[in-house]
Amino acid sequence: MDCGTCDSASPVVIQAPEVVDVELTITDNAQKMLEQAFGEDRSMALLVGVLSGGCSGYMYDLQIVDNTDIDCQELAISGFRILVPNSSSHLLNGIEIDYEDRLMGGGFKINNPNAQSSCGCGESFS
Amino acid sequence: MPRMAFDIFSVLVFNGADSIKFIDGLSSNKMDFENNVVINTLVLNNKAKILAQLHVFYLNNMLIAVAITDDKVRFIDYINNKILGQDVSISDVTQLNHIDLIYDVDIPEQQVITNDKTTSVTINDNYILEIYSTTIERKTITNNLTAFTDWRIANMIPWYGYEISGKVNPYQCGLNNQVHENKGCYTGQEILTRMRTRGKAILYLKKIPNSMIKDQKISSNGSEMSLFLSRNQ
Repeated sequence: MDCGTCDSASPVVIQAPEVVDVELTITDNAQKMLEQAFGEDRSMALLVGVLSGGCSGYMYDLQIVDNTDIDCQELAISGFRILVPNSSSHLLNGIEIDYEDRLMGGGFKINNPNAQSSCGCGESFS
Repeated sequence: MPRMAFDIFSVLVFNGADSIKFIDGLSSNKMDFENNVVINTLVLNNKAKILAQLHVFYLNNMLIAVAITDDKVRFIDYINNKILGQDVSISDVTQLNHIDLIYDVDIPEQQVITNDKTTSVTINDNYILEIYSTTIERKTITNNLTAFTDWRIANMIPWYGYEISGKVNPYQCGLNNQVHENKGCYTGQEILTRMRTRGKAILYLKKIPNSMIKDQKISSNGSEMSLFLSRNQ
């Protein structure tokens, strides 16, 4: 088989997603939970990203990070550092980060005006 | 050793640290790789309809996917949009290779066998896809569709354009074995799980002698036997 490892293969052109300036909001409940998670140390950041996969095609990815190599936009919201990867900015503009305090299915939730549909657990959207 | 050439095959090379995770996240079977194993999996849309059937294997530290789809451009566009910031790059090496399907042949123990410019990939212990560089002269193709269809019916193998299309889900065309029942979230999974747990709308591939055909809706018509999809197991 010829894998085209030299110059012969035609790479599939990866579409660079449109980079948009992200605006997002964090609800009071989510802010309280982030305050508990971060404590006094506000040098850490909340990385809000999107991965492919999940029941609806895309999955949210929330991480607390010191820094990242990912090309990101950095927002300052209510004293928190929020990082949003440029590669998923078109999917995350306008989102609201909420926190639901429930025994089952609780935790951080993303309300996303860009989502056409989402799966039952709310972690995946399209 | 009959040899067929179909234009529905594409060969895609995936490079990058996130390649396995990427395909695993999009498809219906688990990407549990062992040496020389071919994993047969499906990429589905959000209605669980089939976008592509993938035969995935490792070759020289690259992840290779033989994709069978009725619309390659639409499929590549679909996966392209899902890469986002992940470390995945794709090369389409279809034009660099001949892709022949060999059937009615002794199946080797190893599922992936490769030498200098030829790779043989065994699919479901049924047939072999031989992928070889276009710098090698094309081997003699039989392309006897009637004989292939008869063999396929005898071995109960669903096929693109017959049982399989973009209008059906895996449980409606006999590809049940390419859905991992315990795999977590992937596009189309909720619909398939509902079908399975409720036992509804699942169709089973059956063969029938042509002389016995009554009101069955035949999907593949052979010389003596035919295939149809039945609600009865």
